[in-house]
Amino acid sequence: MVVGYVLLVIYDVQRLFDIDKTNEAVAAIHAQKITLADVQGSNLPPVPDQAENDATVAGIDKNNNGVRDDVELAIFKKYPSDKKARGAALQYASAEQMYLTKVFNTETWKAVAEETGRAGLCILETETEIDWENIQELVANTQLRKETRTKNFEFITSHGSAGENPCDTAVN
Amino acid sequence: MRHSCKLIFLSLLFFLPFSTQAASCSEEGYTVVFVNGIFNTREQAENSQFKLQQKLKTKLNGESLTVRLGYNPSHLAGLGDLAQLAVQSFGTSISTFDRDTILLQIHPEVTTRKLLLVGHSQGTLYANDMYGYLAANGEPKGAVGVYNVATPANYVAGGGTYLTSEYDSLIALYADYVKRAGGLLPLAPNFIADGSSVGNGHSFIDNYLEYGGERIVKDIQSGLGRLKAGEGTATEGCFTPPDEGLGYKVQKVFFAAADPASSGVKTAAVAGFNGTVAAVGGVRNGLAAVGSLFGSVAKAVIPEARTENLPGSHDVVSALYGSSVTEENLREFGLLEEQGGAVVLAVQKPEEKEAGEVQGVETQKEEEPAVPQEPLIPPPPSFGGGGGYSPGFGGGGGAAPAVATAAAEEPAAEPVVEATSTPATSTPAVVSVSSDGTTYSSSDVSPVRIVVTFNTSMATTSVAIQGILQTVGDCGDADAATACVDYPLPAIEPAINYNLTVLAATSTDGLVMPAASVHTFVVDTLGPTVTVNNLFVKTTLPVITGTTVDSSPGMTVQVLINNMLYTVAPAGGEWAAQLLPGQELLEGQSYTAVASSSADLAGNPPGNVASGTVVVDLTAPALDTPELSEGGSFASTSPVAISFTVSDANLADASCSFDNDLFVACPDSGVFSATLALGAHYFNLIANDSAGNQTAILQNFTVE
Repeated sequence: MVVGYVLLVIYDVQRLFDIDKTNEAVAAIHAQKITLADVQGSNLPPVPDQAENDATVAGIDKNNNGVRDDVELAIFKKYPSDKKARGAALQYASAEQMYLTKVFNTETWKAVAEETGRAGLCILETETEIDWENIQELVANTQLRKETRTKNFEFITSHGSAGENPCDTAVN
Repeated sequence: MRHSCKLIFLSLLFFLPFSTQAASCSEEGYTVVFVNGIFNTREQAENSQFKLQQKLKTKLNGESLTVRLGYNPSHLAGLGDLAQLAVQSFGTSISTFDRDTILLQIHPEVTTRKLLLVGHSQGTLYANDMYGYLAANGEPKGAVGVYNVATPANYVAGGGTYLTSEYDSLIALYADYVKRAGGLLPLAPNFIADGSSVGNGHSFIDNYLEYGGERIVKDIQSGLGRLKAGEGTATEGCFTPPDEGLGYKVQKVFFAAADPASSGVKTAAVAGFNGTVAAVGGVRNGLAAVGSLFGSVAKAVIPEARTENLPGSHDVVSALYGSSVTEENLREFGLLEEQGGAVVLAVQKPEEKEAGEVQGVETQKEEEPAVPQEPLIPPPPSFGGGGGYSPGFGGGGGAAPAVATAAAEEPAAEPVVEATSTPATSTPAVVSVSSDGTTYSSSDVSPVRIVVTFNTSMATTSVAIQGILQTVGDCGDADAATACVDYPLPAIEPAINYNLTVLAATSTDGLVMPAASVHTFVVDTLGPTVTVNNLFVKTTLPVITGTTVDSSPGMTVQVLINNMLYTVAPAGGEWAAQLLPGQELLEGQSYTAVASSSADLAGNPPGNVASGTVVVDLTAPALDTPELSEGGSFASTSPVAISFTVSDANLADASCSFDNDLFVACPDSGVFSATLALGAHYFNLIANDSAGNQTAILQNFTVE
């Protein structure tokens, strides 16, 4: 009984130590937004070096908008004229990228899942059929990224979607 | 300093629930909570939730509709879930830990009063369980519903509906397992769709949503539509979340330690039964390392293997894991003799049996089936009265339907006719089907009741008509050997043979009908219809013609024209009435012919009275070339243009050509032209009318 109590106390200590770090990370996840400039392509990145891009989980995001450059360019190529679809796809890609880079516990996984859910609802609001599973594949395009995503999904928990407004940008 | 303060209050905080945030509960909007099954990857569970949202859209009846994930975690690399599933097949549960975890997690997420729990696979057992919890903890009657997909459960809580594919081999194997083990048979399959047999037929996305998506959407929308927001009793949120007591926290820490310790177990299991045995041993070792405090929990989660193999357990595991290992392999491995196959699906032997309790696995012997003392299907939990929720067998429960219904509209706890049990001592077989040799016509009141009679008392029966699963119910005749289908008659003409197939049936003692039983009946519910052809005829004694949908021997068609009635026998779907001398029609006149069929052989009266027009045209088209006389000439410097006229009251077509050129349709302008060489030529003009009269002219001319 005593051993069990000690184990439980250790478990809660670790949890409390991580609370501040978690709260900051969750806030950052929910603050990540696609901007109108991102959708319009005002700050489109150059084509990244594939080897360099795939060398790390995070890859290259030169314009620092949360969407990996190779994914961003692929989305622009796929939706060259439909800005609404492009915006939804970029938002979904941004959320998916966070599964790779922002998750370290259940709370952060849930925050990303809520943002992915919100991006999913944004996709449903568009009139274009967006292949969100293809975006998942674009984001998790290497073995390293696939494994990281799967590993981070060990933190999966029940969840809904974040916020009232599905789309980051109001693009027509 | 801040962390030091935290440490001081640790003991107190340990006993506080994780989630204390208040949540509102709106009467507007719908929430769907998807509870995943086991053996999906976590990514698949997440994708399932969004796929479902994608199918359902975001609005229903002008109100918001959101799909939440109620994540049903996998424990001990799936082995804990298998043990849980095996125990749940006996109507009980190892623990409520996962159910309570899901409820705690979704508590802040559920913000609408109207809530539908959608379970898949093992998640359906939790969906049923959660319904009972919600009913007793704040949700008003009628505000919560359940819809289950690919369910191993024997009921749907709250009178909800379900969808289980005929091609779901996993559920079929599970049914086989519980049948042999004496557990609770799952609800009968009620869905067949081409392509839904892909893989093991069990995947929520690849099988059910892909091939049954429309049905699922319709069922869920229907389920949501029945929900009514009422006054709840919870003081915070839509329901009162479970208490995170000491028992819950102990299990939480236990799984936190044991789940990672068992990582790699599933991989070993996939590799074969040798791996599985080793894996179970590994988990046990891991559990032992956690400490003696958790010994009792470990024992509960992974019960001792029983002393003999559970028939079919390998098939289940093979299907679950996609293993290609066969029973022959197991013999080679020596595992059938060493209880290897029984380990994964081991079910803890009940400590004691109370009177009326369903027989457990240790009693099952196919050669000597035990006659159950109580119905196999216990009543589902219900709202109000009855002392709250009881997912198990407690007290023997109430009477249960003898036949699983495909889509129960009411909770099975409703009073049912007490069936007179026919001694169940033989393999089930169909004795008779009341529709055999019957022709259903418009004189039968739809739906017609079709009674399937067996040679023994039946627990479940699955019937398809024309390949579509039917709702099978009790006949209300106090005979457990009968099952009834109330079949809405389709509008059919002419008669068509319908196939009724008793796909599967299980007797109350768990014996399964060895093969499907196919029967035939005839449906002919509409009267025969006819048509009358519109005719242009070049005779005064024409043949009036038309079609009929029923030209069976003995059928007649009556035709009325020019005040004369003709009765003819149709053949090959057509009829013809020849006017006889003395009944001549007049040239240039239009007549209306009216026709109708006789009643058909099933007694259906004529389906229609048809009419058509008959025009008598004995005159051929009149042709003229007013600017060209025979042997005339044209100047060579311009294209030759020949004016012509065609006159007929019922002109069909006119064709022109020069010399031996191909005929072409003449232009509307009445002028036909071409550039021709110097010399002799001729102009052809042919015209036809609709009655088949034809006129042709040929004019010679010279180009100079």
